[in-house]
Amino acid sequence: MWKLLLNEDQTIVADSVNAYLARELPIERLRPKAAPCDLARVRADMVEHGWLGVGLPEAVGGSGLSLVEEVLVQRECGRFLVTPAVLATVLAAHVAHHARNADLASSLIAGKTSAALTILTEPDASADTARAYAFDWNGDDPLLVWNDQGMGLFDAASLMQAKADECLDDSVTLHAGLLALQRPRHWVDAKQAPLALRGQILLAAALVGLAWHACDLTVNYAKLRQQFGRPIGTFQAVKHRCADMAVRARLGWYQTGLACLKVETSAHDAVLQTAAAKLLAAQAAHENGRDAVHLHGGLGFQSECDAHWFMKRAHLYDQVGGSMQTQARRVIAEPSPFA
Amino acid sequence: MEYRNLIEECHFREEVRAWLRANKPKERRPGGPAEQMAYDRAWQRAQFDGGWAGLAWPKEYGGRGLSPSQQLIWSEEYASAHCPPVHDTCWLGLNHAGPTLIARGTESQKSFHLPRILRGESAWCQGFSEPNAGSDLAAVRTRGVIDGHDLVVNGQKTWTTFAQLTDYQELLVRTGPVDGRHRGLTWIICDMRLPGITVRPIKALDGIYHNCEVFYDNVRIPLSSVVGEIDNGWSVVMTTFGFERGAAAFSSFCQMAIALEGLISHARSHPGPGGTRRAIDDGTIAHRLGVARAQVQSLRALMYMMVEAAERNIELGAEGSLMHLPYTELDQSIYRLALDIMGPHSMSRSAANDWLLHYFKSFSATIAGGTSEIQRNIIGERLLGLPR
Repeated sequence: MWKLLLNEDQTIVADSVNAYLARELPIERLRPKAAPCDLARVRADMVEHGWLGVGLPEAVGGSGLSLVEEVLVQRECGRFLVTPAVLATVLAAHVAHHARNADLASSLIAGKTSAALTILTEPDASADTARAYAFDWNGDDPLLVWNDQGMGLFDAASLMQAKADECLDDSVTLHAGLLALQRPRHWVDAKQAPLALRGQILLAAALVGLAWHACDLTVNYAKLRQQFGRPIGTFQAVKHRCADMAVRARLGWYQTGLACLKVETSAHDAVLQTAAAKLLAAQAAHENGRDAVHLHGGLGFQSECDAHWFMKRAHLYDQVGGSMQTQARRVIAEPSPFA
Repeated sequence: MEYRNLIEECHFREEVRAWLRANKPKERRPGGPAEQMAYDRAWQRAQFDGGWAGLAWPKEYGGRGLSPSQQLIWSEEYASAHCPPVHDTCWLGLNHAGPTLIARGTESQKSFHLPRILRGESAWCQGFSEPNAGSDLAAVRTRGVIDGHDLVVNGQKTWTTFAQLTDYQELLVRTGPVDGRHRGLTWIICDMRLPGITVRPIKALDGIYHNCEVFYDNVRIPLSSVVGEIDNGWSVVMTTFGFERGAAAFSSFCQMAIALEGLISHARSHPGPGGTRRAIDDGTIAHRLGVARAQVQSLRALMYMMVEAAERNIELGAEGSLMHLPYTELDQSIYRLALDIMGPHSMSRSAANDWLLHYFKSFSATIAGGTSEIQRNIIGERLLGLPR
């Protein structure tokens, strides 16, 4: 029996991450004139709470929990648009752990090293170099990259001709460069450990967080904003779009939960369920991001309105670990999930 | 969130699988409504004789008393074994009227009707909708006036499914003031053979006479047939809808999920539109199939959550009625996709009839049991708390 409701301990994890982020990294921090957050302190708190090593053994400084708890942390991080470096650092610790580099795993979990989420524009493993984009990279951090063959960690020096660029999602920085593919610091082959599936599930969780927050934000606005002498949420044209946002966020979440359990138990349909989760979560985040902007009206088009961040981050996470088109191909390439 | 591999569930699945393999009908379900009724009754009787009737019903009423997860296992195995459609002429009695009687009926109503429903001896229809009471069900106008020991009914119902074939009807009539809305309605069991009832079948867009108009001219129904109390019918209706929006949808959902797997197999082994390559090699078709397959799985995940909530007696509230909207819209898009994959062959009734019948029927899915618009109102208002 696949149980998708959170138990008491899991609820505590999700609620405590949510409460911390709502207090310390509220979405309003991204507004043009907002006071800056003390990111160093937030990072220290995240380490203190053990968020970076939730699913890793206690021997390397982790909490010894499962993918379920990692999913809950990343869902909340998605909800509050936490830097993608947190997701990359969690995965990098898994890479280091599987590569038997306990020192690096411990260093990542303890926040002494951070990894940058990196995507390849032509993920051709046979070439020597590939064009790469690194998000929220500080120039020294190792780079986390993955494709169908596996997941790896590259030293900062592997990113050649790195140039700062502006990102579609302007809540993060972007560096473009050429990644030397032949010299990964660590590479964990897909056959050795299904880290790519873990990565896709954590991204799906973050995308669900985006979709859910975009829905909440919009529903609250629709209850307050008055036109024609009544809240716009009374109009079916608005109410029904909100209902669709709610359905998308929830279906994305339950599918992510199911995929998470399928990967944890090495089920025969784990690949299909994971691709389905990433696909539907990305679709939910894209469409809810669009609807959030739209339903805020003229305000939704402005940088001071929080709605656009969800739309933008949806694009970023969709491009990592295989976009919607790739996931749909994966879903259809698999045998029937009804065994 | 966790996976529990329960050995009893594995044994139960094996038992279901073996029984269905040995006992499912050998012949295909025929085409015409009267022939379908005979076929459905025989299959229901076979399930009863095998001990598989009324899976969700309590044992004291002749049901199997299965847990929600066992019901789900049955639904999955039933669909995987390619058994006849669950949404047949016996469906309403088993999933709607029967559970309503168990929850709200008198002892004599239960002892008379429930065994007959389980054995496939009495089929039911629903008498809720009227020409001027569709989505606005509280506008029901068909009159019921108490006269001695009878309720005398005058008026008209419409879209009544299989009224021309069924034995009994869940009839909703107005016994209170004309403008009483939700107050003053009464839910009564109507014997369809009573004098004064005229049934006029209506041809649907698929050529089948699914629905009927039903006219009531001084129909005398004994007051002992009232379910709940006089003027308290709305709360009985809500009980009935609770069954419709809950687990009763799982079986037909599983059949749709298996149908999609059949469509994917078809697309892998047949040429697509244009005829030069397999349908699955068309990027657009492959993408649409992939998205549909993912959506089916997400509804399956939602179903698992609902089953778990039911097992643990967790009240889901509005979240429990989340499934109907995405399920019915997906149903429509899957059969539309099937026709696109068939390409020119979709023109031919002899080449594509099974898919065509599903496709035509899928148009009713987003209308019956609360239109998509009503479903979105429910989600918007009850789940999200948006103002009315």
